[in-house]
Amino acid sequence: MPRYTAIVIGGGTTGTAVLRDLTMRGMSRVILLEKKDLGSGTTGGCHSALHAGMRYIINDPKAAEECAHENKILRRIAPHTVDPTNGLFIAINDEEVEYGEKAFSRARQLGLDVEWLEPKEVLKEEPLITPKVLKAMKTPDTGFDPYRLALSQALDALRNGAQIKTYHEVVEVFREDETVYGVRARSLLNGSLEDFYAEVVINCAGPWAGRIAKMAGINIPSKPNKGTMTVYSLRLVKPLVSRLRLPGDGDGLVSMGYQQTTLLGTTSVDVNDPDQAVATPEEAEYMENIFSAYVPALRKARRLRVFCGVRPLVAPGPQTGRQITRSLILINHEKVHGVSGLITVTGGKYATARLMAEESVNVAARQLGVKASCRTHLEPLPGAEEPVNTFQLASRYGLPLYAANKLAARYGTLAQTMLEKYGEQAYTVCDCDQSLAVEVYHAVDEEFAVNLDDVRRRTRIGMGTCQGARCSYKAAVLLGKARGLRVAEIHRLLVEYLGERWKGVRLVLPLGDMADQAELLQAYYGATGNFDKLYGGGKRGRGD
Amino acid sequence: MGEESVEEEIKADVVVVGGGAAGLTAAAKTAAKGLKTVVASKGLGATALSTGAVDVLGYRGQLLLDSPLQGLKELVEEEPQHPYSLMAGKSFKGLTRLLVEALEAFRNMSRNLNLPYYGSLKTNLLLPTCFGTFKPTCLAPVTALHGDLKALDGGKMLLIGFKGYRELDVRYASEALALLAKARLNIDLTVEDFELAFPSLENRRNLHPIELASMLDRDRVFPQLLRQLKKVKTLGDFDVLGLPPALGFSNPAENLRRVEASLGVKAFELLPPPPSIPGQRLQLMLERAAQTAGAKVCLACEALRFEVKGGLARALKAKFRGRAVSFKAEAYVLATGGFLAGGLIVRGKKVFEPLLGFQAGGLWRAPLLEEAFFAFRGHPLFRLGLQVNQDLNPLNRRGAVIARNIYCAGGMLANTDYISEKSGLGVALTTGYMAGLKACGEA
Repeated sequence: MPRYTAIVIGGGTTGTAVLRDLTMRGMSRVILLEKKDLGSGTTGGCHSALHAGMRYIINDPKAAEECAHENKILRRIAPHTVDPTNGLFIAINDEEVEYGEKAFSRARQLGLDVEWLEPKEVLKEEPLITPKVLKAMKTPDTGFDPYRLALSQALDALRNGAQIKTYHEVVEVFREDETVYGVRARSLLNGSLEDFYAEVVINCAGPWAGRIAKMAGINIPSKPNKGTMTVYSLRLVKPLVSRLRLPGDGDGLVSMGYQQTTLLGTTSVDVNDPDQAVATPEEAEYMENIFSAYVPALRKARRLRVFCGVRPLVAPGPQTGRQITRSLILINHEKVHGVSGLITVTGGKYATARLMAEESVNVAARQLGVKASCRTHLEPLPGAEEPVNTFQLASRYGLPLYAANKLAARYGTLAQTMLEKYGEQAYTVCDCDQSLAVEVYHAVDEEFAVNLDDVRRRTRIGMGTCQGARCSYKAAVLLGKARGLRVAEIHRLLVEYLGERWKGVRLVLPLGDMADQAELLQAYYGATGNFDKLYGGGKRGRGD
Repeated sequence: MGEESVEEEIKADVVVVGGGAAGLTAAAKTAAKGLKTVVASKGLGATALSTGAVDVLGYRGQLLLDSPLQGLKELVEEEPQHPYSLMAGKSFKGLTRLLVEALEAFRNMSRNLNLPYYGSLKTNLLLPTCFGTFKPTCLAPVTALHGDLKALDGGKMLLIGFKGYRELDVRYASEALALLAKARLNIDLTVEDFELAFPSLENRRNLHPIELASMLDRDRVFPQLLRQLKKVKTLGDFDVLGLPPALGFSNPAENLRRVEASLGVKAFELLPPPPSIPGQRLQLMLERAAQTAGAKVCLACEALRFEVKGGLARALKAKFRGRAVSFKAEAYVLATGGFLAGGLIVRGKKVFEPLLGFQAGGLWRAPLLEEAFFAFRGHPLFRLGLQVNQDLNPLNRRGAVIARNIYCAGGMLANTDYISEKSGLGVALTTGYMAGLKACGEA
């Protein structure tokens, strides 16, 4: 019977950070169980904002402090996942100017690197921002790639001996008397059940953390909270743009280098079941109405899709949504509920996942008698060891410089390793985002990708301006080759993936932006490919 | 009005809006009749993105039709609002006559322009695509004809890939084609694959179809193809050779003939998704046909709106290479295409035809897009469009004619869905043909 030092439940940014921390303190008999894919839960529904605290500086100072601290660390240990641009917080009325001045002095107290910019300068740099801008503050808030961060953490843990099982859903937590000693997981790929035993179980299941705790007979005041985002075609602004106000709906625009899209978020709506959360076109319209006062170009930009994520909020009292702190929540169930062997860490922000890991592993280490202290803030993540010479990569592998830059910006030094290993596959699959075939092989061989949605998260194939028309079939073929699949299975994966992505396209249709793209997708695979008749679904008519 | 004074006026007998298959077919017709014809075209539309094959009717629901005729009779009875039914006065005989006439005109034109199309209403060809799937279609350019699976039962096919050309993966395409032919058509087909390399393109990692086709137009590159193909030892074992759809722009039929003659085996190009060389060849051919007939094609001309008074269109306001122009004609053909081409738009949860400013008609069935990406009956959105009467005059939501001298054709028409019916280009060519006749005052 395999026995582990620790089981980590949840393969998001937090779970992978915890796994990495455990292994860096010498605990290598550890395993992570993720019910779907790494980064497919809250991480996948993320706004891609790497906060530095400016957003919470007035109303949630503890969260602001955590973000400020962690932002600096992440820029050091994972520069390849962080966009090198900064944040731009703007004011367009007196109220916001006043808020900005208060926020500015608090930020300076906190040691945040902020400065005022002349509106004229700002407009020269960012002509799509409203000319009504009165004040603009440069901050260290920025965009980042949540998938690549989670995967880098996972990869580091793997190198240190950890195990990861994706598509393994925990269905039971074993508890005897007042001690949790393991879990039972079901494989979503083949339905088999497997038991895992460990001295400590760390619950990093995000909005599903309450469900896991309940399996151990413990109630957590979990308040899953939906945030909706709109994806716009093309990069409208370089920095993360937000407004000088208390956090509210639709108040932030994020884009990432080498990605041809911009994200507008978010809303904040409580949901009962994180699995049932859906974005609505009304939310997209509502957010655009708000933020187009700051970036009027949004009105003319094309909305590619609407999606949502679920925040793992926890609050014992009556507070909901934006009233709840974004500071991390660490529950040592031994102390709080008298149940040993289980730790829950939740709440927090993407920026603070490493800190959440540090604090929860501190508790675990104490319980396990491990003396080693945290080192996750000191050592670079895989890919971040040294800068990459992209000119060299481009010429050695015959790549467009843009593709080489993009590859390095997302994988860091792994770009080099990948190209060495799969050099023959150094060609572009996706015209929109210049993703390469090597990335698909790498995703399958090294990063647990099973289906096309997994490939998309790792490579951005299908996330660009055409939303997968030109690249989905090509990616399916590559996935098939990398996994050694027969063609029937490849077609099945393609149909499943197009169906999954279709959800977001359907949501923006009423907004008027995607009818042409919907026709292209349908004509590509239906009128030409005849996939609709060969593999169609939905309501059946005569002759079916 | 300052704006009016600088506006340029262009007069013609017939103004065609839209330079795709429908519009150019209409223009060729009216110009051939000696009418001064101007085509206002914004740019490449959906025709250039098509496979280049002309679908007339491939499916009724989920039922694969052995021939278009097999489904047309039922269609006329069950879908009186379908453009096919409308044009033929809801008579099957009338429809057959019209289709035969329109397709014959198209075939004659294609023969004259050195890219002959073949096929008939009595059979659907089952042509292999670059995905390794097959689709039913009615007319195929000679370059795609020999792929017809109906003629290949018990046969052997070799699919050729080009190294560095990423639009076709022959390994999976061949596996899929054999599998689907057996499972869906009960056709026994052996399909093998082979990837060859052009010596002069050895280091190219992403060969774009347009680039490849242009290179194969050159006398230096095409012989390389023949030389490389001749190196395939087992070539004699195969009944037919499937090639990437990139055999040049200028004379693909001749290129195919040279391949067949020098290798002694029949060959065909697979049907591609966009960017489609066969689609672009068709677009060019239709443009040339309209121009040869005497029509003037204005490219980069964006139509803005019709001016309608007293039930007649009086002018079409447009922007032609940045200048404001007003087209004035006796008759207008409106053939601006569907959503992809920009002929229909969605605004505020409604579908509009922007030039007339009218809300599109057709059966409004929510949701407009089905939950499943591949829906058996298609997505209701694509059945929406401009509602017309049997003269192809546009109707408003109450069924009244908007303008008696506007004739509508092609992808913007309501009550047809080319994606699900597999009727793309067939509807465009026929309605375009009919709109041309109407604009001449002949039908």
